[in-house]
Amino acid sequence: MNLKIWHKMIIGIAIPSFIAILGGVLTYVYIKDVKKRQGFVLIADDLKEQVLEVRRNEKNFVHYKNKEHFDILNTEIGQLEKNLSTISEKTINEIGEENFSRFRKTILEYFNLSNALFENYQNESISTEKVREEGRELEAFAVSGKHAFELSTNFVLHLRILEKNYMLYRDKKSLDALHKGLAELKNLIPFCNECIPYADSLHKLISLYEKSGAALNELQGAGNALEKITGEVADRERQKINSFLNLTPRIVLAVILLLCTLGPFFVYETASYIVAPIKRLVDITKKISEGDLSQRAAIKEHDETYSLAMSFNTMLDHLQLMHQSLEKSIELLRKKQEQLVEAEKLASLGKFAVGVAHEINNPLAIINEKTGLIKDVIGMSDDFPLKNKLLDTLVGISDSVNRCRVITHRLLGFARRTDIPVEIIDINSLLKEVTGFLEKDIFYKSIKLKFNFTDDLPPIESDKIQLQQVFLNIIKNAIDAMEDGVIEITTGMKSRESRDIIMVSIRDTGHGIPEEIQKNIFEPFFTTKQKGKGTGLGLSITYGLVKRLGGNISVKSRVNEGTTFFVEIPVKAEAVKV
Amino acid sequence: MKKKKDIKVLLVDDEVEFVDTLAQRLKMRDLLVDVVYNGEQALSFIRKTSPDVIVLDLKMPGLHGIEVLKEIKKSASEIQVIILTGHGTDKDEDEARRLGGFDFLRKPADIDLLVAKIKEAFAEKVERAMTAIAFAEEGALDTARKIIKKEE
Repeated sequence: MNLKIWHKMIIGIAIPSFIAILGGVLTYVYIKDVKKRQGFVLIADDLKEQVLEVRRNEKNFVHYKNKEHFDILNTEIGQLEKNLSTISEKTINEIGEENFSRFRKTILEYFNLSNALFENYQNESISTEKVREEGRELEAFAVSGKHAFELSTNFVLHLRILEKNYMLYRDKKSLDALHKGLAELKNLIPFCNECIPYADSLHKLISLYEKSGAALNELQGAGNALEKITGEVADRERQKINSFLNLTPRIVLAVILLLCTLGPFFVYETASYIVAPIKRLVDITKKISEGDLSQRAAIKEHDETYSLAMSFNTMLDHLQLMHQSLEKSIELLRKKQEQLVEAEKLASLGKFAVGVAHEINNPLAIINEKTGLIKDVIGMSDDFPLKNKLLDTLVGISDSVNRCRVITHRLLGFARRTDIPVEIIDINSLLKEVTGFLEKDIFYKSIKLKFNFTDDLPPIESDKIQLQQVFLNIIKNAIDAMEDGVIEITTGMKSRESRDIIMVSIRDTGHGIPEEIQKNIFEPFFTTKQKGKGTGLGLSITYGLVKRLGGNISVKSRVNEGTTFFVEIPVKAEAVKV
Repeated sequence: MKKKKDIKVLLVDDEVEFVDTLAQRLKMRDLLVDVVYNGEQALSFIRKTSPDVIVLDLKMPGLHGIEVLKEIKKSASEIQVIILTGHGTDKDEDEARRLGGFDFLRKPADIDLLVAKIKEAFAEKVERAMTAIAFAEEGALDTARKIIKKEE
């Protein structure tokens, strides 16, 4: 994914935030709903309260059965209807239209039933008066005794008690007792015309009472239905509130849990996603600091770290290049330093040698003169025993002095001039000349001489005598190093590009120089020759001469295979103070 | 050519043992030898008498041989000077030759070589003197001719 860091950060923050907001909104919606439902419950409770009030008045009305209480009941029903009409359409729709229409219908029914009951009650009271009147007349008739059959006063009184009981209790027991009395009265009717009005009025009353009871039952049923409807609505809303209240803590808990688990997860993922390229860079810097400059930052993301990694890599490229060239320079410097140390060592050795030579020369000169004087004196004197022996001994001293002189005079070759007498020299002919000096040695040792000359070499401006000395020393060493072998002398330019430095190599097939002493061979007094055969100064003087002419000398050798000396000579000699 | 005995040599060297022995040996070889032990003595010596050849050391207490050579060439250029030193470097040799030194030998030197050099130096001195005389004679003749011509 090619996302910028801030995109990544927004994703990391947005997801937990979204969860939190979702939870909050859900909770808000639920609580709002609960509040609304609470309003519904209140409305339902209010209605129920009013229904109960109506029922209370209904009971009063049923008890007193008069117009006053009927009016109060009607007022209450009107109040209920009025209150119902104040409830808004919206609320009605939300609670449930069918509940309200049922409620309204039931109220209307209730109202009609109460009216019917009231009418019945009014008929009842007329009928009751009639019964009482007929009863009193029958009582009077019975007491008069004008009847022709057995109509006892007691029986009539008994009937009247039953009648009163029924009016008072209106229950089945008293009704049954009354029916029994009425059945007895019925038996008398064929004989007693006076009994008929009382019986008829009683029958009418009973039917009226029964009708009232049925009406009352209907009314009570409607009342109960009203109570039930309001109760149902209230219960239903309460239930909803309860379920919401149960759900809300769960939602809140779920959101908290989600935030606690997913939140850190998302933040961690995003953070590591953002940090990953930086971490890789850090790892690489660690490796680099341990010296591995070949490390490069992997470029995977195209966010802000992309350009960082790119410039980091570019920096590393430069650094590596610089490091490499630095290493090369150091290597070069080290070599130069080694050469310098070597040269310095040789120079100081040379100075030391010159100093020693100077100091030795004076006493040597005294020995030389004293010996010479003795020789002179003895030579002039007459023969005496051991004269010749003495003279021989003196010659021995003189020879030793001479040997010392050779050494000290060669040592003085180290004391160098600063200017170089310049001649134009053809190196090839100079080498021919030098080998010419050594012709005899070469011939006697039956050594083959091979020239490997490059023809068009530039002429050298340098000190001819010194150059001769250089090659004389080297070639003489080569001759000394072998019996019948080959000496090959090669000339050429040091490099193809420049014509500034001429390279001469002198290869022999002699016994070679062991590697461990190759670095010593240019030091004064270092020799592998037998005592008395070499001074150990040849190569050190050669070295000094070559350096003085601005050139260089090096050696490559293998034991039993031979030795090659490489002499570099600048075409134009510059005075070099070593 | 003068006989050997007539060649006057002055040895200048601070190394007493050396210079005295050398003087004896040179005397045995029929040279007239005088010895001084430093540069100042050498210079005061040549103010009194004029040697033919001076054998001069370089490194001495007091005046250095090169200074002595310069002084000699200034005041008595006809005296030939051979440097004989134990401290001679190539540079010294160049310097000495440039200042008119006849030759440059290093100690210890072979006695025969030294004697030969002294003779050569003396011959050189004589030749130069002869040339000078010849020039002088030529000049005198010229003058004489001019005078004669004038009188005529």
